[in-house]
Amino acid sequence: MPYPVRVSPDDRPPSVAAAVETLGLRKTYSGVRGRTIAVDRLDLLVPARGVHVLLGPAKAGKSTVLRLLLGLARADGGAARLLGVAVPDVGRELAGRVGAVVGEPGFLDRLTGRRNLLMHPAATSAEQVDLALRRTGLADAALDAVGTYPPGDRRRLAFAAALLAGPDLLIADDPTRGLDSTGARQVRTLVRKIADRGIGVLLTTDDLVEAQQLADTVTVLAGGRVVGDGPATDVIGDLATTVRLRVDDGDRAVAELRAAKFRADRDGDAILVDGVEEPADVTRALARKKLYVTEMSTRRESLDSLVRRLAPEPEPAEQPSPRRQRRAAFEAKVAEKQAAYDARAAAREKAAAAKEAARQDRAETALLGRRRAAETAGGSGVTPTRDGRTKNGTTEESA
Amino acid sequence: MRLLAKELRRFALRPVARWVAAGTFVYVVTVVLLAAFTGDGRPLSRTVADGDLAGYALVPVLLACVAGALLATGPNGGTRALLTVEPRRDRVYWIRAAAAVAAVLPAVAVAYLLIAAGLWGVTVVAGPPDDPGTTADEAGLLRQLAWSGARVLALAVCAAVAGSAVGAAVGRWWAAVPLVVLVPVGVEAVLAALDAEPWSPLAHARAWAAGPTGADAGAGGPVGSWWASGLLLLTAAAVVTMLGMLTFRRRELR
Repeated sequence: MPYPVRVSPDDRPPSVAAAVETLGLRKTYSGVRGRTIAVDRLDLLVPARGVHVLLGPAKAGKSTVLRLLLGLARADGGAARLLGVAVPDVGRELAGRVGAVVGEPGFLDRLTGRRNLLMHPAATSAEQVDLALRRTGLADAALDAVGTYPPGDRRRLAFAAALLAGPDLLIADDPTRGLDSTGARQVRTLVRKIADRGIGVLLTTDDLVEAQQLADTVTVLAGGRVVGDGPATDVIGDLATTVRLRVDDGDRAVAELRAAKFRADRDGDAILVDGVEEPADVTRALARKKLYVTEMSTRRESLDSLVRRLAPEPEPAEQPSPRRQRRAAFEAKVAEKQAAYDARAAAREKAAAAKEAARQDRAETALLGRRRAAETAGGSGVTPTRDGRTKNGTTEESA
Repeated sequence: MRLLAKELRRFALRPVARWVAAGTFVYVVTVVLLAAFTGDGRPLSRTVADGDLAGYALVPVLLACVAGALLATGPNGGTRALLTVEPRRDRVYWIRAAAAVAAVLPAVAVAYLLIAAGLWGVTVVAGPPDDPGTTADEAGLLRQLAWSGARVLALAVCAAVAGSAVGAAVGRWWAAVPLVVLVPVGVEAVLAALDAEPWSPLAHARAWAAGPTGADAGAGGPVGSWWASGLLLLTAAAVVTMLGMLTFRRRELR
């Protein structure tokens, strides 16, 4: 099946291989600054298995897409299906099949994590709650008050709540936002484990490295539009970086690195090594050969450059200053008046030419008439005048 | 039923619910103490028959409206969590309305009974010795109390449903609570300025709570008969509920 697959809004049998399908999804917000297009004709396909990441910078429309899919916001246009069910006008079909970690989960801080989960609408039994706590690695903290949880544990508790009903699809909005590196790593590990259990995961992030770590498939959004989608390795590459380093004996270092299966090349007096997963491997390989790095830097593509690469922006048009705008308007007005004047002058000239032509026609006709009259007078004795009149007062034409 | 029970449990555990309950209790104690120290020595049966007892219960009814609004607004993320389990918004709306009714009915009933018991106690201690309501005609007094209490509870149901409608429509407790408290006050002030008391919701609520024998009710009362007042209040609650549901259907949740 080619990717992405377009969704038709008619009632064809839903695709079982897709967790989420949208066609032309559109959402605008009205505010004091006018209308803002949050999602613009979005065609999206999320596979039923694996981790699909909506990647994009801030204001790209990622969270809005999730809110539209979950029925928390209403789309202005387009169609969407969640697990084959058209949203947002759903019945019982989706109940318990979709778990969501979107926004503040609404836990009561003074209650324990376990008690909070027991009060969650999706909880049906204590065993189910304990299982969710174990799966998210929170069994040891289950009896602690949620107010004492570090942010990472709090986020994992939100995941536990989302997993209570045993969903087929888990939707998470920027799950590592605001977490320290330890908390982010725990949440990423948890997301991967959830996906490995066969639950489809759709999450948003603005962290390219996170997307590279987690995503099986990815959709890159910018300005509410899809600028790239497909398998993650094709669209956003992998975690490999380019290492630029300097060594005293550059040629030998390149040879040694190539022998160690690195893609190394000279770049002036420096060396570029592409596709490095762990930069320390390069220095280690060189050190084994008694070559020591004097300077090293790593380069990894940023999200902004990725978006620019996928959707090159047109050159921004120069915005003229107000003074220049006023001058341009004045010049346009002058040009318009000049054109009108020219048109009137041309019309006058045309009219004069037509008048002249008519006068010449009349003169030629009169001359012809005089000649005819002279010819006639040669026989009858009537003498034509200069303006074509005969002496008896009638004109050539009226005669 | 499971979701209804969860909503009730969540509401019971919220500090704001305890504040509302505490406010109701303080009000009950205040009413009884005022009756004890400033009462005119009327027998309890007269107080019930005049509709004064039901009138005292109107403040718990207003608190029921506030409780309904608080339950529907919920803590941050509560509605979102509920919608991920039950995606049908209409059902979520009615679950919360039902939870509001289930939450306030026992509280208003207890408040009413406490006021009645307190006034009875005051009458026993300081009332006339031959009060038929406390001595000779207990069955008649109990029937009056039950009938008056039923009307107060019906009013509390309407108030709770309307409060939850406002809460569901507005979505934020700090907006919903002032709305359900200040709007009736504002309406009363406007109607008083316009000399249009027959349209006053408070007057209708008082007439309904007082019942057929109340001083404010009856065909000659300022707002007509008590059952017409009840009908008007029911219609108003239904309109507010429908508006709340329509707004909640369209409302976008953060």
